[in-house]
Amino acid sequence: MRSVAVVATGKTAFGSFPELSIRELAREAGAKCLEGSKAAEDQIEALYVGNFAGPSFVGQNHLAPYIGSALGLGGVPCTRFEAACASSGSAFFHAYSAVAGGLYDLVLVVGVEKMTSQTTARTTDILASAGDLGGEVKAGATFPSLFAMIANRHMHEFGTTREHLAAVAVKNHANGAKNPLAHLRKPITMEKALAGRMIAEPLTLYDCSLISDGAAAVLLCASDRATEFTDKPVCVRGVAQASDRLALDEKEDISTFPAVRAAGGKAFRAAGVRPKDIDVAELHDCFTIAEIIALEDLGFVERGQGGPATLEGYTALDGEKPVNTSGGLKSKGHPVGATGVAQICEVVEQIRGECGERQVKHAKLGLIENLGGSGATCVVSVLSA
Amino acid sequence: MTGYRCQGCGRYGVQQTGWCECGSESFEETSLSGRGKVYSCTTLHASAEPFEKDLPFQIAIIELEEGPRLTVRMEGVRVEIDDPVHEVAERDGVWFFARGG
Repeated sequence: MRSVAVVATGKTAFGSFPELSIRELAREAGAKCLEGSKAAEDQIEALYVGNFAGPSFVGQNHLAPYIGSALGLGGVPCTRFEAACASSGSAFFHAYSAVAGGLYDLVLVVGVEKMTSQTTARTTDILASAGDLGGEVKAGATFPSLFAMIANRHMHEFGTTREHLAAVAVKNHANGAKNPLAHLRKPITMEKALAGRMIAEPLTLYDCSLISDGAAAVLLCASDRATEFTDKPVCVRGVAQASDRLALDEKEDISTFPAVRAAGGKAFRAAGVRPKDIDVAELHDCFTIAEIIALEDLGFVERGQGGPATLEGYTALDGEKPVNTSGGLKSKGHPVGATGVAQICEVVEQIRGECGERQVKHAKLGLIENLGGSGATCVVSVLSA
Repeated sequence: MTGYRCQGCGRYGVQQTGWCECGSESFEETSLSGRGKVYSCTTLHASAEPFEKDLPFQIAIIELEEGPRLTVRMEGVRVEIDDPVHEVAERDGVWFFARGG
């Protein structure tokens, strides 16, 4: 396997953009990414698109060549990857594999979702289609309710509290307020987070990520050619994808995500590093409990300690292990198919020292965890300077 | 409550999928007690479109006495983890349970 580098990033703002189509969003991120490198359109050898539900949200299928032609990529292979909220993490994993395996030298990865054109109830319906339609969804389960059952079980087993959950939201909103491209740029207090409207007990509105439009892109290159395209390549030290069952009722223990542990273990081994070595991480906080469990499953803290560690400031911007400096899905926003690549953009920009007010000092080694559905897909990546 | 038992590994199931993770495709119909306990649960205050008329409602993952788990709708009083529950009815492929053994 060859060494691979990220040579450029590009992002749209995340938010509600009724005037922009899914193609325009994807094109904006892709074009910014190319502008940020010295690469010309005709040097790109393939396009990997991450998108969860374009066909349901906006009715558009056959999305990858539709985006490729808008970017002027000619006739190169353009392929869409769908893995629920890990769609663009999965696109990144497959793009990385193709470059590392020697098939291509230079490929573009774009993640995109346009969600806000639907009502919240219809959006909830579309998101639920990432669960098991034959069982849990038929009984009325939504994604907030699946993660609420995960949270209740975690509380039951480890004594995790609503304050622990709210501490994730308060931290991520504080970080998102420092991110000019975030969907919600406002800090919230613990009192406000705890008093939020109940969605699925014990999760309030402030435990849930946002419904957003947006796109993000990265340009991947064989490391031996990376300096042709940038002065600041960021090395992809390891990427791994793992799978699990869709239905929560088929899992032995819902207070942990086996796919996170498996992908994390493989990515750490490939990178030759340990959790304590990581300087900065973007973890998939689709719901506050998911960030707490990811901290545990990736080995940053012991099982059951994710909540207390968060409340004590371990993962704060000035803490020992800053997590979700971008604001996370909670504050930056969660255009589902864009999320995995947007998380990678944040870590690349942290390592390059480009994060302004939210820059972590001495960020040399970063980790990204992108979770699909209620844990049936996970992609973990480790990047370094 | 009707269920199925895999003839390969002996595992019980409620919904027959036609295959078992052990590799077997051979099942026998069996009767289940319809009793179990709550593994986890939540009360929804927002839902997808088809369920909005039922809000608020509680769903739960039930662990049946024979072992299999099932996501069900709860009727009557709200339950908590480890509460005993029993089957009430099956309507359109959805199981309804209530508190009590």
